[in-house]
Amino acid sequence: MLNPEIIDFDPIVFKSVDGNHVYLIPNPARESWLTCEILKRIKESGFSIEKYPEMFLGLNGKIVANAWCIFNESPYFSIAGMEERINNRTIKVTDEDVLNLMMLQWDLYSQFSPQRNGSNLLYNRDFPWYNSTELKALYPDKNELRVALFKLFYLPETTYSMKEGKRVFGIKAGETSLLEAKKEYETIASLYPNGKIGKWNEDPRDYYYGWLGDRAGNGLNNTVAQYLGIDPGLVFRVKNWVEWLGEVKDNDGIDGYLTKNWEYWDLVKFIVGYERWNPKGGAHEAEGIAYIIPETLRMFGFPTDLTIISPAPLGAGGSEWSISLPYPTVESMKKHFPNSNILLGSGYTFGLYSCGDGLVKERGIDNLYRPIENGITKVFKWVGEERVYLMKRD
Amino acid sequence: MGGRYKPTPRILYTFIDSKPKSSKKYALAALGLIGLAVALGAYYSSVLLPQQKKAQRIEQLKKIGLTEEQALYFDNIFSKYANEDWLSSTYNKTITDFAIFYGKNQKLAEKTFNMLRNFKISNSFLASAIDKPHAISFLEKYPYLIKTSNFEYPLELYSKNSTIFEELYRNISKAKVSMDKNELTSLTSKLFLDLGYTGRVKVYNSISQAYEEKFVSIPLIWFTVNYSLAINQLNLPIHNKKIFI
Repeated sequence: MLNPEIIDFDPIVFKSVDGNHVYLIPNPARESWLTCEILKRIKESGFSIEKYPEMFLGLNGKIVANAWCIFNESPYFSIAGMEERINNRTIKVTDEDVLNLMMLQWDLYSQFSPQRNGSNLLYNRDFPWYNSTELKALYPDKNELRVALFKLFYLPETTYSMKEGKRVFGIKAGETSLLEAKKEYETIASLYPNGKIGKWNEDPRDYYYGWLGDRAGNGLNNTVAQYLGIDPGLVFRVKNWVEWLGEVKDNDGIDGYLTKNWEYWDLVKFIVGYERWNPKGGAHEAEGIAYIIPETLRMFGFPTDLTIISPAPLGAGGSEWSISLPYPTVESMKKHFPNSNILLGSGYTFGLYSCGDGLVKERGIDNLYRPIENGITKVFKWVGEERVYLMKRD
Repeated sequence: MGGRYKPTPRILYTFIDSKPKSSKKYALAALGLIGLAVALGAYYSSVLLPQQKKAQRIEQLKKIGLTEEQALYFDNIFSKYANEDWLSSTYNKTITDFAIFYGKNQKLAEKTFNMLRNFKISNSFLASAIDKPHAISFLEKYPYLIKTSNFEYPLELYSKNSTIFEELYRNISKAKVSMDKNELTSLTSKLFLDLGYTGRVKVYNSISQAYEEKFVSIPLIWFTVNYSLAINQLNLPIHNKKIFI
C-alpha cells in the first residue's frame, strides 16, 4: 500500500485541439475503497498481488477506468445510467455484480501477464500494463499513459451479444463484452499468424484491406490513400478485390510503415480483418465497429477507442477504431512522415481517421445526402458526453 | 428665603446640657469606640476577610495536591472564578479539577484556559493532553478540534507523529467534503491509529520477498484520508485491517 502508483487519483486530461480539454476526475474516496476491495478479492482469488508491485500502476488505471465507466454521471454513457434507464435500478459500488464485473476483467486480462504465467500467450506486449517499469519506458508521459490505461480497461455500457444476437446494456453489457471478447481471442489466437478464414480459405488480413477498399470507394479515397500511401484514384481503377489486394497489401503508407516497424500492427490487422469477416451473430456493421472490434482489440491488450468524423461520407462509417501506439513508434512514424498531418488522439491513439491530410480533401455526399464541399471538418472522440477534438475546422 | 436647612442637634445639646462635664468625656469615648469599630470592621472586611478567604482557597488547593507556590499562583489568576459568600470563598469541583491539571502542568493548563476560556472544555482537553509531549503546540494549532470535542484521536496521533497528523489535517482541510471536517479529522485520526500508521509500517519487499519497515509516505496518507472519506462520508463498509498491510 505504500506504492504511490496504486493510489494515484489525479485527473486524467484528454487534450482537445480547440483548447476545451476534457478532464476525467476520479472520485478519490470511492476509488480508494475500490482499490482495497479489489485487492482483497484478488488476494482471496489466490493471487498474491502484494508480491508484484509492478502491477499496481496498471491496477490503478483499471480501477479509475472501471469506476468511471460504471459510475460517471452520464445517463447514456455509464453503466449506472444504463441500469437506471433500462432496468430502473440504482447500482452501488458495493453491489456484488458490480464488483464481480471488475473482477471478471481482472481475471481475464491478468491471465496474459507473466505473473500469472501468461508470457507465452499472444498479446500486445508493447502495452505491458502489468509491468510499470516497462510501461513507463514505452509511455514516458504520465498523462498519456493513464489515458491509454483508461482505453484498455474501458467497460462499455452497451454492446452487441453475438451469442444472443442482440444489443445488451448495463452490467450485462460489461460482462458480455469481456466474455465474448475472450471467446474471440481464443479463436483468433488459434488462427494467428497463418490461419485462414472463409469459404476460400483467405488470410484475415485480406478482409482488413478489403475494409479499406470499401471505405476508399465510399467517400474516403483520399484518407485511405494517405493511410496506404497510394494514389487516391486507385480504388476506382482496380477491377476487383483481388487486384486491390495485390496493389495495397505491401504498401509504403502509414499502414505499411507500421507493418514493417511495429510487430503488433500485423496482429491488429489480423484481428480487425477477422472481425470484418466474422458474421458476428448477425451484428450490423456499425455494431461490429462500435462494440465487437474494440472489445476484441482490448482483449489482445490494445488500448482502443473510436474516432468519429463529421461529416461522415455516405457509405463510410462515422466512426472507426483506433489503437494506442507506443511512444517510440509514434515518434519514428512522425519522423518517417514529416510532412503528413497524422491526427493522434490522447494516449497516442491511431487509426484510419488519423489521416488528416486525406480527410480534408474528401468531397461527395454525407450520410444525410448533403454535399461535402469542404472535406471532413471535425475529427473527435467521445469521453462520456464530451467531445475531444483531434481536428476542428470551420 | 429658601436658605439651607440646618438641623439642630437637639439631643446632643440636651445630653450635653444635662451632663455638662463628665458626659462629654463619655461621649467622646463612645465616638472613639464607634470609630474604632468602624475602622476595625473596614480593616476586617477589606484586609482580614479576603486574607481569610484566600487562605481557605489556598488550603483547598493544597489539599488537592498543589504546592504552596502553585496554589498562590493559581489563586492569583483564578480567584475571580471562586464561589464567594459573606465569610468564605471556595473553588467549585470543575475548577479544582482544573487546578489538579494545573498542578501537573502549569504552563499547559494556563495556555489551555487562555485559549478556550472555559474550565469544563479545558478539563476535557487536559484529561487527554496532560501527559502528551506536544499538547501545547496542538492546542495552538488546532483549537477548533478542541472546542468541538474532536481532539482525542487527533491529539493522540499528533503526539505520536505530528508530521503525519499535519499532512492528514492539510488533506482534509483542502478536500471537498460534505461532513463536518473536525469530525472527519477525528475519525480519520482514529483510522490511522487503528492501522498503526503512526511512523514506521510493515511493507512487503517484492525483491527480498520479505516484510520490512518503512516510514508512512505522503501518498499513503492521502490514500488513507480518502479511504476514511469513503467509510465515513460515503458509508462504505470498512475492510479488514489485513488488507492494508
